[in-house]
Amino acid sequence: MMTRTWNLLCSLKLAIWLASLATLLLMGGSLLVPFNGRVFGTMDQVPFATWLAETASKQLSLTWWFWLAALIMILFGLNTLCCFLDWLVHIRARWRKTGEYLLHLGVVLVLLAYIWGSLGGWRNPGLQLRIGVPVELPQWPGHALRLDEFTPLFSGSGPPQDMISQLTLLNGDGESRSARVGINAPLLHNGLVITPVSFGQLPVGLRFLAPDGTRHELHSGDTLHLENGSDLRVLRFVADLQQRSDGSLFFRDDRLGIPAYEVQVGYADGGTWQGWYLPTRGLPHQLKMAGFNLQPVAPVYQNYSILTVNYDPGARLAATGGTLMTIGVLLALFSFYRKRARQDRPEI
Amino acid sequence: MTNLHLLQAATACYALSVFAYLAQIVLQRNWLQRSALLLVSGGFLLQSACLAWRWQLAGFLPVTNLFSTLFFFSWALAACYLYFELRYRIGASGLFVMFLNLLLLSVALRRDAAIPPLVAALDTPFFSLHIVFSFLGYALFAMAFSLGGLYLIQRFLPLRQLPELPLLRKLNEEAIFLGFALFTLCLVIGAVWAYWAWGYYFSWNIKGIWSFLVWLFYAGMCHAKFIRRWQGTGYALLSIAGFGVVLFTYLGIGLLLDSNHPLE
Ligand code: HEM
Repeated sequence: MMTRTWNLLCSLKLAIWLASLATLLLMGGSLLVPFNGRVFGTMDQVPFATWLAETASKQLSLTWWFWLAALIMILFGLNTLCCFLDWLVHIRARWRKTGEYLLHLGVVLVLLAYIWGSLGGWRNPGLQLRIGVPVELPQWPGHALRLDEFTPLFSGSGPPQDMISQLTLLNGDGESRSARVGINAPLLHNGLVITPVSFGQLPVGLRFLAPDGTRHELHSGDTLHLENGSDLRVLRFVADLQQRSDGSLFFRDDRLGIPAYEVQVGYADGGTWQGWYLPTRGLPHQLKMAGFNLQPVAPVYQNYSILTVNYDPGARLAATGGTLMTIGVLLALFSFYRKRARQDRPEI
Repeated sequence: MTNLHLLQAATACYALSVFAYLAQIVLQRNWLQRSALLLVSGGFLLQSACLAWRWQLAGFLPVTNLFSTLFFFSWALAACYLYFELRYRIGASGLFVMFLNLLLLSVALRRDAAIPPLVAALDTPFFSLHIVFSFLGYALFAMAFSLGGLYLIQRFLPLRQLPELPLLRKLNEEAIFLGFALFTLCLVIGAVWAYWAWGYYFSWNIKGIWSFLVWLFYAGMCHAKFIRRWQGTGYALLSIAGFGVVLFTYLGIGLLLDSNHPLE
């Protein structure tokens, strides 16, 4: 029984059957992919196993072939592994086929790595980072990412030539890794991969004109010394402050709507006031009293970076598999004619 | 003179070589075969010079729009044809490859040959290598298609002018193996590049799936030749079917469906 199972798993005919079945299933099924974006459009945004569990399982009429193809590929991987092991056992007689069998081993490792990454990985396809504001990685508690600097590079009009983010990966309190990320230059760190996707601009404050013609910018955290000895501290700037019917305030959006500052004024006589200043709605008298006489003229924007942050525990294994495949295929390629001349091949 | 004049001259050489091969089939003259080989070699040299010129003009291997990929596919076909011709003197047996080559060039020559600026994501040696290996692989699969077709002709309507069945079978198997090996390199390089650019090494878009299918299909063929029942006729039929899969992957998807590998 054991021997029969082993022989079946090492059988070349089984390999051809499985490869043909997987090919036919994927051929037919894949034609559904471009026409059902709702179901298949999210496949690259989550690991494969998550997609199977969360999306495909709810659309079995469109996705049944995927389950079957996945099962066949697993069997095929097992089949390939057994062929490799069978060769390993007989390596003394069959060492000339090292290239071919490194290729087989490489395929098995890549398949395993893909399964591992699908089950244990996560993907964050559009993490938005503002300069200096650390963002927790939701799937990786205790870790955060901070954008220290962002530079889009343009040459003439058209899309950017590069989008360079200087990033720091924060691990608990300590910094664990700093790197520059750009197009085709990702940050790679223990299975984590960070690549640029896009960028945008968000308002971070307003520009003001003083009566003497000078310009000032006010951002969150700034302090302004006013002429009559008062101090104005900007607690925060929000791009769009709205009021509910019950009078409570809420921030609607990161884009510019009704810009507002939450400010704290320290008067020269020692008194203080804290409240909202909405430049489009006029100056509160508490600010007038403090001697604030700036006119808002324009919003100030700052770039933010949008990044893909993915974690794939199988990435290293996949790289090892890919390397073995490359070495194997090159060995097989360069020894092909010699082996053909020796008629060194199985006939079944 | 512009680089396109070189391409037009190359096309003329290829077209004349096809006539020479056809005449050789009918008249069976050695000098015709020699002239045909000379014409293909001349065409290939001119096309290579054109490629080098365009490469130098662009500063990168120009394979980023339909004109350039048709051009490069055609160059790979000619290279592959010459490889088999110089090695085995197959003569008119690779005629299909030359027909396909002419077809690609005739479509290419009607399109805009300007080299578009390189998109940042493609500005990497991974991209050039990915494309070079994919088209070399495709060209060898086209050669296998041609040899498979001839195998069937020779099998059912034997012609004195065609090579013997065992030679056709051997060359067909060789083309499939070489094509598969190069296509494997194309996929491995593509996967590394995808990981660097997108953060994952396999994308479930239609082009990704079909490229994997091409690879799986020809991996299957690398084994089918060991099974006696599939040798010869079965293998020839598979070579023809396989090239259908290749054509759909290269042209069908770009032209008919939405993909992240558009043709232009
Ligand atoms: C995707 C998976 C696979 C790939 C890419 C692959 C690839 C290859 C290649 C390129 C060759 C060399 C062909 C030649 O010499 O012309 C080969 C040979 C072979 N493969 Fe696979 N293969 C795979 C799966 C399998 C499986 C599942 C089996 C199990 C039966 C298997 C068994 C063999 C055998 C017995 C040979 C002949 C080796 C020899 O010449 O002694 N392969 N394979």
